[in-house]
Amino acid sequence: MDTLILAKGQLTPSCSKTHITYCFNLKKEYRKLNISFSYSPKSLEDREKSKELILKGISAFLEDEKDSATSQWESFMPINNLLTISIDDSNGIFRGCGHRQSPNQNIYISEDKATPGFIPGKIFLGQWKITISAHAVITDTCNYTLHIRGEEKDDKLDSI
Amino acid sequence: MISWIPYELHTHTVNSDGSLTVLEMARKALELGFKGFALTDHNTISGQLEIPYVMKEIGINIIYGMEWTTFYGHMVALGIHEYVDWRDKSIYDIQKGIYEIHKMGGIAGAAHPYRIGSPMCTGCYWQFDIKDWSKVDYLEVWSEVYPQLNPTNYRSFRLWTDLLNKGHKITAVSGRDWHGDDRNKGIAVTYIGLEEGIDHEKCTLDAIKKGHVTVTLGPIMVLNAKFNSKEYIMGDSINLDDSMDKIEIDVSIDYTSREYMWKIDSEEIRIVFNSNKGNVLEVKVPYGEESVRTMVDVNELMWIRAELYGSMYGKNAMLAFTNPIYLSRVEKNLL
Repeated sequence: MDTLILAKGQLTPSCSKTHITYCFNLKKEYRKLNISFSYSPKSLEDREKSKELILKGISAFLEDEKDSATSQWESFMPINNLLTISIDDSNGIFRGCGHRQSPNQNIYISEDKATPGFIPGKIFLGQWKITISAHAVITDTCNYTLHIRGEEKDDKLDSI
Repeated sequence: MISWIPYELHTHTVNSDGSLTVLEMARKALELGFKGFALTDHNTISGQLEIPYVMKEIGINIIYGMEWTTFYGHMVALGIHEYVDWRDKSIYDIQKGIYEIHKMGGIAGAAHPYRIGSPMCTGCYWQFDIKDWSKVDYLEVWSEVYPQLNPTNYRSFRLWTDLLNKGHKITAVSGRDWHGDDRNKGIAVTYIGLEEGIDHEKCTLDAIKKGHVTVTLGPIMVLNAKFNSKEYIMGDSINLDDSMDKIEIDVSIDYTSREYMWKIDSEEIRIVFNSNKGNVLEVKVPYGEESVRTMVDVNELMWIRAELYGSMYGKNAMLAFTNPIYLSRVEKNLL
């Protein structure tokens, strides 16, 4: 398998509500793309800081139930970072998104199958895009690793 | 003849963060008494590949859709068979997003607009500034199970009423935001009015857009009006002329639909006719009463809807509401 991208990055709360896009070129015909994506930490462990963020949210978003929510602020614990991955192929066609909470995601796309959320089909030559959407970064730093690998048409045969 | 078809308009499967496959969700929806549901996974349309097979296998209608799960609000797009990108839109671009959904033949609805937002629920609170509400096809005024007891839904309902009072024609629906959990109580159902025998997706979307929709936790409540010997249903507009100062309004209640799924525990129910002029009539009838009819003064009336109140699971609340019948007037000086 070829490593197409192995990237590590660090986000801070200023990156909430932003996207990071990696463009990468496929110069060979692959039968499968494997994407491993992980980030850490998932949750904000600091209780006081959590309380502060939750109370801020309650104050900004709620009206009628503000008082009851304030007294039960702990019911919103833990609060989390949320990064999601989406893919666009070299024809500019959307090839799926994994909008889920897990901070460790293994995604694959092949011609006839793909991880739920993603769209199977030909792995075209040319420039593909992977986008990390940072829905929320609430810890001081959040480190991610993105590893994209291409599985060649005869890779599987080699491993048998 | 119009039939009222039970739909769930907001669901998530394993294609995003739900627990069921599309096939499993279809089976469960059927068990809960639904004849259709919208597949609205977060930011992907991958589940749509399974729709034709699942519809045939289970015998349920599935609307193609996606929940536009942005940083600044969640918007349900129904009837889109291709992806509509949210990633290139800012907080100022909601109009662009709605335009793209419409261009694809879809309709757009604001989901749970007052649910608590980030970081508790990322993007869940509606922060987009809607400059032109006429472009928004519907509002999800009831969200989650037991929606009648959820204060954030009271706010959504008030937003809807305010918009109607400003002259907008906007449909209100329920959407469970069902991620596949097993709770089977307190489920609201959006009944969509369709001509018998017609279940094409486009007709369903048109019916939602027009407001041929009634929402309930139990019995189906249908609002009709008669004027100049013509009949109107929820979502219709009556063009008034000077000849009449009253219209006949009729509510019919069907207690038989999905009756194994719910129970009203009060002996009496209350029907309220609400309008831009406030409550124009409030009647208490025994549980089981199938029809309430009244004459309503049309002076300055812009819209009128029916609300049903009673007790369910030991708590008094609104248990059903209809979309409004709208009234418009021919301007005298234009004649």
